[in-house]
Amino acid sequence: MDRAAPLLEVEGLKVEFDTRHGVARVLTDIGLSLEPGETLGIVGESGCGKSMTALSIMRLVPIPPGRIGAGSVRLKGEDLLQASEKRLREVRGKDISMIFQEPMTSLNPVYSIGDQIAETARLHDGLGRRDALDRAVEMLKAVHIPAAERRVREFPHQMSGGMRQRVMIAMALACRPSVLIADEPTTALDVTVQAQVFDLLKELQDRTGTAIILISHDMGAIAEMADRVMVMYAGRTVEEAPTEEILDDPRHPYTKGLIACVPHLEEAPPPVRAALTEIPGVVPALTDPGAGCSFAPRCAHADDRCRRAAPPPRDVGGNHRVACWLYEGADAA
Amino acid sequence: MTAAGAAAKTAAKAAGAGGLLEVRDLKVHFRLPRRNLLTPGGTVHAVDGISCTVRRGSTFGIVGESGSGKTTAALAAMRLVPVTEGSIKLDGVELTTLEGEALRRMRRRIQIVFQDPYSSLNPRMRAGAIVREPMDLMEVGEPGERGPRVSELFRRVGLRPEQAALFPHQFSGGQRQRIGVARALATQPELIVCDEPVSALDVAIQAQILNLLRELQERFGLTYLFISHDLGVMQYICDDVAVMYLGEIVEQADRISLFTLPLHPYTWALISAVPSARRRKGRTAARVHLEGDPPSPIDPPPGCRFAPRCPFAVDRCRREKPALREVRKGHLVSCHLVGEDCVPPHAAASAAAVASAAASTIQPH
Repeated sequence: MDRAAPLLEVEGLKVEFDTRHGVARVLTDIGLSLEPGETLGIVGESGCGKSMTALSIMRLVPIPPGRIGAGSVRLKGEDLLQASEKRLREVRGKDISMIFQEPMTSLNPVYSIGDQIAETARLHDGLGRRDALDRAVEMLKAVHIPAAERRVREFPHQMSGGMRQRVMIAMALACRPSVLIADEPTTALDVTVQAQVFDLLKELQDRTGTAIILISHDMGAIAEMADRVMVMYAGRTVEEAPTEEILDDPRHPYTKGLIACVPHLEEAPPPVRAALTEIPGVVPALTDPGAGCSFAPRCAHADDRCRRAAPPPRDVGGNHRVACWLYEGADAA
Repeated sequence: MTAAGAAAKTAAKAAGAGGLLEVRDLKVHFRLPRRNLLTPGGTVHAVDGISCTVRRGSTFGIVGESGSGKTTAALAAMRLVPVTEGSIKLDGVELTTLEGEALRRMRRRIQIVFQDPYSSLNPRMRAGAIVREPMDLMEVGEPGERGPRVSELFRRVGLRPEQAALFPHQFSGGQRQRIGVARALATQPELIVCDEPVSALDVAIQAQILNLLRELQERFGLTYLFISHDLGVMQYICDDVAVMYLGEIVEQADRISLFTLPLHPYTWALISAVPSARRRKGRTAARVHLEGDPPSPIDPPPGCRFAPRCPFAVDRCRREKPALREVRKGHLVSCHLVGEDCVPPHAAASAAAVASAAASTIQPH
């Protein structure tokens, strides 16, 4: 595999927040890379750092109370963490754009949706008012909104949740970004509408080659969309592998738990229902991580060493990396 | 199982096959205000003539998209929204005509667990007081017994009795939902309405609450009316499932029949829209694509309400409303296209899709 120049490469990213309870280590040593046209899924419970990873890539972490302690975020070789604010404004919305969970609250209620899509095109591509509105209509058609010429003048409150999320996608893709970050884009939507949004994202990705980072807590959504999966826990990456590999052969006890604790829809449900696998306890506070593996307090396999030292990520073969002492002897030859 | 639990189960069995909750032709309509002087407002047909029987000791699920009327139907069963028409019987007692003290007494027997454990607990009350409140309001047991009973309820739902002194913000989301469950159990109800009780929780916590609900059902012989949009959860927790679309039940069956042989095209579309970590291969090809959003329940169209989104709809579907009818034992469906042979309209389509998926996997990428 040619790893010479990935589209987006994050290395050793460390983000901390000052809180009343001390320093919260929100992200610890996060690394990822993304190729054009690829979809990377990031999965984990709330508070595991999924959204914070996305915000750090866009350098949208509020500073203070936050600070980016170490690491680099390189887009086509350019380190965004070192870039000027002016340069970042060019990058955001143009090279990297983002769609959020709540299509209800992320649109401005007092501007027509056409104006909101056109704004991006005017700012980044220097289009005039009329050309920008044409671009907006074109984008609405691309996301399959019927009667785009009329709809472009409507306001967010005139649209359903699914329609609004399409508008968000149209806005995010208006300048043909090379990276799209989708943070739980379908959590607020019904399953039938979710399926439409996923199909739309895949179609647009095929057409434009945009790379997608999909953040979700739903392994099913990840299974459907992602080529590779990164499992996060307490601000660290605990496992990373191609999607098929992680679903067929999850290694980290947390990943196993995440897959097993969900009642999966079966085509032929078993008559006898066993109790669901639980992951006991809750996500730990990030202010006091302790020395050991952060999952140890919830892990059935934890021993003394797990509580003493955090396991480093290791390669277990097949592009599969896992940070767990259980696989210490399993290094790929 | 405890002796009390066994007794509860036996009692449940002795009550026989009869339903604990019998709903007949229930309608809940809301009038909208006039748009202006000349244009009258429409009517929201939130629940439009549903009938179902919830068996004692079982879990009856209502699944559907937002706006399908599932929550309204459940709230109507508790008399928390005005019932326009129809009958609701709890253990043979007609609920729709109850008023005043009789209604209050009845509510002791039906309790609810809400979706959002953050907004459904009063932040200024201690957890113990929250759980005790329904007992005080409904005068359950002697005042002196209520304190020990709160402790007992805390233990039952997996909390420590001393946590009763804490405030809701001092608990995690999963623990808060446990408080919600304890509160629902406080009056020793027979029927608990669970309105999306796990959809606001993290996946790892969902399993804890679902396991708890099943364990409590086993122990106390509880009956659940379970509302959810998550088909995986429904398949796991429910014994019988009704699928609602725009205020009507379009299909109803036991969990095995419904998920093994979904007959209504809408049920099939819902099932195929669920992304799953287990059934991913060849599935996207077999998926039916529903265009558009669920239409509005304001002045719904004549004929089959699903027809505008149904890929198989024919003229008759748009003209004539299909009746909900039993096509196999215990399996009800309202679709013109499901014949006596029980072959759903999507069977041919999905067979073709599976064949084409198989063909496409042979081709090299």
